[in-house]
Amino acid sequence: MSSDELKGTGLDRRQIEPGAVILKEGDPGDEAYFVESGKIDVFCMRGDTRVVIGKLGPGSILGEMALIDSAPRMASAVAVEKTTLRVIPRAIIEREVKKSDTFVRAMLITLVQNVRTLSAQTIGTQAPKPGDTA
Amino acid sequence: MTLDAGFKLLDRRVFFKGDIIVKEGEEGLRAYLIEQGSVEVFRTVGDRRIVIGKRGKGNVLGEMALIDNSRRVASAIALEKTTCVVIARAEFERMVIRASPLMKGLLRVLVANVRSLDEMVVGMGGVGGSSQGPTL
Repeated sequence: MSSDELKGTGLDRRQIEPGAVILKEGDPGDEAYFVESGKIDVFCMRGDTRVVIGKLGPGSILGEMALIDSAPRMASAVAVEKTTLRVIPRAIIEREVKKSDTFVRAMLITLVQNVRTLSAQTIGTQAPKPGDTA
Repeated sequence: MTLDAGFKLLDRRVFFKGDIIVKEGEEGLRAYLIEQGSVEVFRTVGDRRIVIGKRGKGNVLGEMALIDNSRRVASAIALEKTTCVVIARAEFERMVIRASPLMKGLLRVLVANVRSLDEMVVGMGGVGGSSQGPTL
């Protein structure tokens, strides 16, 4: 995604300090974010271990999935350096999804399901499960 | 999920249990919207079949190759009698072009995520961590 695609949308900017958590696994999602600058780690907690499942930089988008399928956040995200986000509220995503073709909507939902299934699989086999002794 | 009136006019195709709907490595000429039935998505590594996921009613199939103009990254086989609405490339492009910039951006991000996760899962031996025996 590019900044051009957000031009004229008047989305709020948010500055995030290094180490600050942007979104948290298990929380309901009410916003998505476009990364204007900075670096973010996406991770899941398995026991006491942070399992990093992705790294995001400028041009990325995060937090979109919970807004598309209304399931809780599947992962957490933390800023690893000073980061600027543009905030995309739930209402905007919902409005745009509603306006879309049936097929485009089906595609978004399918893709989100795929990401959830594949991520669960990735985490499940890579990380120690809660209760495992390290 | 309910279909727009326009979908009534689109081609449908019926696949029977065991039919291959899309094949890894092929050019993506169309996508499918599953109206009824279920399919298994898999990749072939050597002579092993690695299951990546399942899709059913209301899901889309074959969209990845159309979104980023790459070849099919996986195959799909019908697990039962499955009816799909056929979305030809031109129709697909028309729908995506009409989508708003935000929706396009979301589609692109999600496709990129699915691709990189696919690679990780295949590297680990597939969903459930086990392969599914020899391919057809």
